[in-house]
Amino acid sequence: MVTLIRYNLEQAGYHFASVKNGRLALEFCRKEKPDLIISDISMPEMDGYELREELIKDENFRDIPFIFLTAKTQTDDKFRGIELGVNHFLIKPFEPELLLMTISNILKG
Amino acid sequence: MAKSIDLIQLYYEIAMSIGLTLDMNKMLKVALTSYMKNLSCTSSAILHLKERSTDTFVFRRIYATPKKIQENGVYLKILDLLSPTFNENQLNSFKKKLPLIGSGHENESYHLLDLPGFGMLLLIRPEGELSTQIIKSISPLNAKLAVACNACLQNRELKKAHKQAVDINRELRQKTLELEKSQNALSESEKKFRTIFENVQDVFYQTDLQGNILEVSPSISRYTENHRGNLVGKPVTTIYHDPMDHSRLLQALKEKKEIQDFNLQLKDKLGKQVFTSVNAHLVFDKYGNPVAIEGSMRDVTVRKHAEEALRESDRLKSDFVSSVSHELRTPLASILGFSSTILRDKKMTAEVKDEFINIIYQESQRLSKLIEDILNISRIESGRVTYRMRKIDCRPIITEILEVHKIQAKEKNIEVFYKFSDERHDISADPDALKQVFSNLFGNAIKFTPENGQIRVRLFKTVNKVSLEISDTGMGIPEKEKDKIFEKFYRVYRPGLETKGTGLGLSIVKEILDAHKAEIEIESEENKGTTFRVNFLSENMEFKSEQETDNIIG
Repeated sequence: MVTLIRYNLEQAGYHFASVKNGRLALEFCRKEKPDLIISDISMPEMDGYELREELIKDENFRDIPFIFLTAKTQTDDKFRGIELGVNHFLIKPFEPELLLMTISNILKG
Repeated sequence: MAKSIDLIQLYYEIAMSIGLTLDMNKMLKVALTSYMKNLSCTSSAILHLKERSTDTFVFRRIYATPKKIQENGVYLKILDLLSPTFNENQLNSFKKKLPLIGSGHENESYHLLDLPGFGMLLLIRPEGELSTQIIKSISPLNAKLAVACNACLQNRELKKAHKQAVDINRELRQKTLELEKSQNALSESEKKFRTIFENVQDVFYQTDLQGNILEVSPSISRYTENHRGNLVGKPVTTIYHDPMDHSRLLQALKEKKEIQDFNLQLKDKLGKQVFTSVNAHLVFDKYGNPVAIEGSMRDVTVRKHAEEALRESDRLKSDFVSSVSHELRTPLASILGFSSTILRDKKMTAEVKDEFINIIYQESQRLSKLIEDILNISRIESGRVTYRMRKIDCRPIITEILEVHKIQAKEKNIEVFYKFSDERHDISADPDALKQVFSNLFGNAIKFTPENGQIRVRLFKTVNKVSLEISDTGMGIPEKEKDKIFEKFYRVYRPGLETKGTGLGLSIVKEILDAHKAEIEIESEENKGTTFRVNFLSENMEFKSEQETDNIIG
């Protein structure tokens, strides 16, 4: 999945970095503030929701645009993204094209 | 015409008539007829003096003859005279005037004479008044007549009383019969009720509104250690598990008057909860006020457990469906994403394209394996798999699987040791199922052992078991995960470990082993290694496959 996104984003001209879980993502943000974060929900050590909660606490990171990727469906627990202020989410499997469009819309607006 | 007054005849006739009968009317008819005949009177009447209440006296007409007397002016005048109520003084002064003798119109004379102790006698003559002498002479006769009248009166009262007594007696007898009948009916009904009450398995009970037990059927001792004897009169919280239940019940009844299927828990002999379902209603007094609660309780513990089991099973099913759906989407997302990217990006280099196509290929394979595993485990769980049990030698199967995984092990430079004795240790198993078990366990060993590690396989026999052991020098399983690893889709997350598996491998192993009545043991230490040991019943032991066993029982 990471490979897929990396390829598509780099082809579109974006600078891309990836980490394996929420905790590492936080560490990354503190070193180098990203312009946009794309995150899975279920990850080991710190999941997507927890990551988002941590980011909100810090005013530096609160406003970084955030996109959730999830394979969860309606039968799962209620999607908590909206409560956490994340309006953009894509449900796997998705067309990479859709991700690119979402990103460009966010960064333009 | 002056008829001669024959007093002697009169005396004689009166004496006769007085003794004739105690019937007032009859007696008076005869007596007055005599009076009138012998004294030449045309009309007569008898008035009775009654004491209405203290110092209140009235005259009551009890006899008058002939009928025409009703029109007689003199008669009416006398009645008038005697119509008011008299007190004692008035009465006495009136009596002093007696005998009251006078004339009316056309020479008609009237004589109002005292009947001492009874009342008055009125005699009306068309001719002149009777002489004082005659009046005096008949005075003893009047006294006798008075006595006779009293006797008749008494007799009448007596007769009335007697009739009343007879009537009462009859009524009493009737009522007694009715009472007997209803008592019998009650007794029958009581017997019937008692039989039901004593033997019913549900609990019937009654409490007052404050929660004191008024009555409870003996069946209560099935549910609690209390017998009926030591519960009546006690508060119902003695047997309710939750002390608030009585007020809850009361509240519900106040709203609905009668309720069904109210959940209520009792305390059983060990203080544990007994789940019951209660149907209850309020009992009202004759004014419409609620005075008691009556109900029946049924043990639904079994039903509750079944409901819980059903809920649990439903939850597990829906969890499974969620998990499967999730698991299938992930490789699918890759396949879709990469193929879409390839198709869109005309400028993609051949290298990248190859890499992506490779990923698509691997993910497709993974998806395929996943689907197969899912189907496999579904079949196993729903009991649609039949194992063909055969007496088999494990050794060639183990060797085959080891061969299949040889390359995989070599890639990680993992050394595999196995040594079998020359002795055959046969077990009763389905060969394909056994292959699956061993393949999954061995595959895990390789997966979770880092490079340059070791795996050792042993096959040995203990008293009545044949054990297959796979030990590795891998990352180990933490204590708290030891039970979880057999859960469907459970995958370990470790940094540096690629979770390529389906998470179903050990679930399948467990299902197969359960069907073979084999146990699995785990020994593990984190970062040191893990040993899985599967114990099969030795073929020398009695072990028949499920189907054979069923036949014997059936």
